[in-house]
Amino acid sequence: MSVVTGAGLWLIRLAYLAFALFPLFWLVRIALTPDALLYSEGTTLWPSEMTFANFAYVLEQSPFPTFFTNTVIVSLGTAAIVTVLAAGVGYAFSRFQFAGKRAVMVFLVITQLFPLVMVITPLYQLLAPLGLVNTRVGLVIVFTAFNLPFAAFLMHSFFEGIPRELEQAAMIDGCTRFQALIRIILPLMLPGIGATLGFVFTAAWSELLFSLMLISSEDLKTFAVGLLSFVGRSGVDWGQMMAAATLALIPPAIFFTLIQRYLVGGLTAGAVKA
Amino acid sequence: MAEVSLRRVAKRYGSFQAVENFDLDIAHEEFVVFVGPSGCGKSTTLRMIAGLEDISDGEIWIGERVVNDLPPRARNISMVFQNYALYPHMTVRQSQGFGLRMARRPKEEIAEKVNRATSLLGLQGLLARRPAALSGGQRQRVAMGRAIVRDPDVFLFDEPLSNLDAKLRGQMRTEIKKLHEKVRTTVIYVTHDQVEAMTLADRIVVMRDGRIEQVGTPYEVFHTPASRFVAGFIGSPPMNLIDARIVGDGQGGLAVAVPGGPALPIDPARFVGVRADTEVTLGLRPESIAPEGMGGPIERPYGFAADIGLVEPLGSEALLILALGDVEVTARVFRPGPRLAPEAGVRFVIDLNDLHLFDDTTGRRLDRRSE
Repeated sequence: MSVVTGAGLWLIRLAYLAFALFPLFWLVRIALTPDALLYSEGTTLWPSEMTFANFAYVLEQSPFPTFFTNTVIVSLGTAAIVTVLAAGVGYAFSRFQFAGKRAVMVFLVITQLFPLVMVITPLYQLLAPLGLVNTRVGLVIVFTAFNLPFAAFLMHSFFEGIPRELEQAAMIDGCTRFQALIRIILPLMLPGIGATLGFVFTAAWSELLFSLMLISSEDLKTFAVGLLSFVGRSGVDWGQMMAAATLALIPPAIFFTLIQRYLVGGLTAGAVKA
Repeated sequence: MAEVSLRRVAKRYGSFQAVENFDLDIAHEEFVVFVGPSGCGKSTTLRMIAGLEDISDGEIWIGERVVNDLPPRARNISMVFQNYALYPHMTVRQSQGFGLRMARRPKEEIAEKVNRATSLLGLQGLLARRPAALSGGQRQRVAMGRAIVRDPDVFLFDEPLSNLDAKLRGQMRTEIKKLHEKVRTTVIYVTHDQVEAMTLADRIVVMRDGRIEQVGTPYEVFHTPASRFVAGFIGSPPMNLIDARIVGDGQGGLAVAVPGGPALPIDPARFVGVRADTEVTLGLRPESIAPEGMGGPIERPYGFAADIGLVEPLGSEALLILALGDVEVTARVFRPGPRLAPEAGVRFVIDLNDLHLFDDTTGRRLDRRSE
């Protein structure tokens, strides 16, 4: 039974869509506005003239392409490592009973409760002697550590959605546990793997705090940190910054388009006991 | 092709005993059904035979081998699960051949065996489909096909029909029985449904709280239930179980007195060890009680008058709820007439040869009748 129906429902949807998408629109609008018009025209919905100069500058004269490459490497690396590890953890949680299982699961939840700012200093001191500060590897390690618990729970709920009888049937059909995992469970886990990859990739893609603290070299910066370089002493170059931000949105947008039909399943997996 | 033996098999989870002291020998090609209420340990026992659960104690033999420490794939068994457990990403043809592919059998052999199994089960038209495109009954058949294809020593069925609607369940029950006629293999079948147990089994193993209550043919467990529990579990509607008392009949014989009702004379030769002034449970099958002239042939009739409180017509038969003394009992009438209705003072007949007596404390059967 729904309270709002038909046209009313569409009105609400449209209002929400406008609310959610307006910042995106504004981002693109500013990126396309010539510098000269940015302040002189006042607040209009669309500038009287459009320019791609900001995009050209960002791509050709700023270090943004380097930032972009760094971000792709770090995000993909994190997503791949986290997903593989999370699959292992999720499978173990789902299929095996072992001493301390509950404790480990509770501990994983607890790690999610701390504000990240709290651990910046200890983390820095931990990574510095290992030579991992100001490296992409260091970033991947840190991102992996922070994303693994949630990813593991996500994977766990996906494994829970796959009936145990499938593996058992495969083991009776002649498989070892590992063969059952590879031949039967893995193909069914693809949506879960896709969803986990997506979540972790996006989280790493837009991470600012640790990238800012751990990376100082210009050629190792990720784009989130790089965006700040458009803030100069004399002011902010809004047009270029928005152009860079717009470009940075493209990869996650592509990624989410590819995995979106799995994501809905990912959010509800485990909600209903199979 | 193999016998299966369980010797003092036990399963414990911590201090909880799921199965205890389970002893059973299953003959080659025998169809054995484990039946009991949920939580009685029947599925756990089946899963121990399959190798899906560790065995806490005892030995399981399949053929000439103790299989305790063998993984499921080395036991040469196949299993049909309650939820079918069909591989969602495989077509019927692929999943039927999966076990043979894992065993690295030649392609021609796989194709031939898959064809044989699918034609046996009428699956020919469905070979290219995935499970999502199959109905419940078809999935059930595919699951059985996958089990047959590999020519296992033993078939294990874990409540295979519980997910089907009543009509389909009846059909598949018949098919399973026919299938066993064609593919003579040892079968161990788990169900909580006593009708399935009765119709399918060569021998029934009735379980309760992790222990065997009785092992016997369907005829034996129905006609000489070893305990009050079996008596109440096997048979539908269930046997009337009445708390009663053994009394003298005034002529040197014994009778079983229903509270507030008649004392039914009992045969001293049959009920050995029954003494006067002891509490017992009296068991009466609904079909052993009938209004005069409406029941089947009766060997030792005992007549009494009772009020019919309720009539439940079922078409070919009707259940009558009547007062026997202070106790409400169910009687069963075959081919009831159109005007069967609640009525006072109806003459009923009980067949005294169909009395069952159970020890009040142990619940064990008291007579020594063997039929």
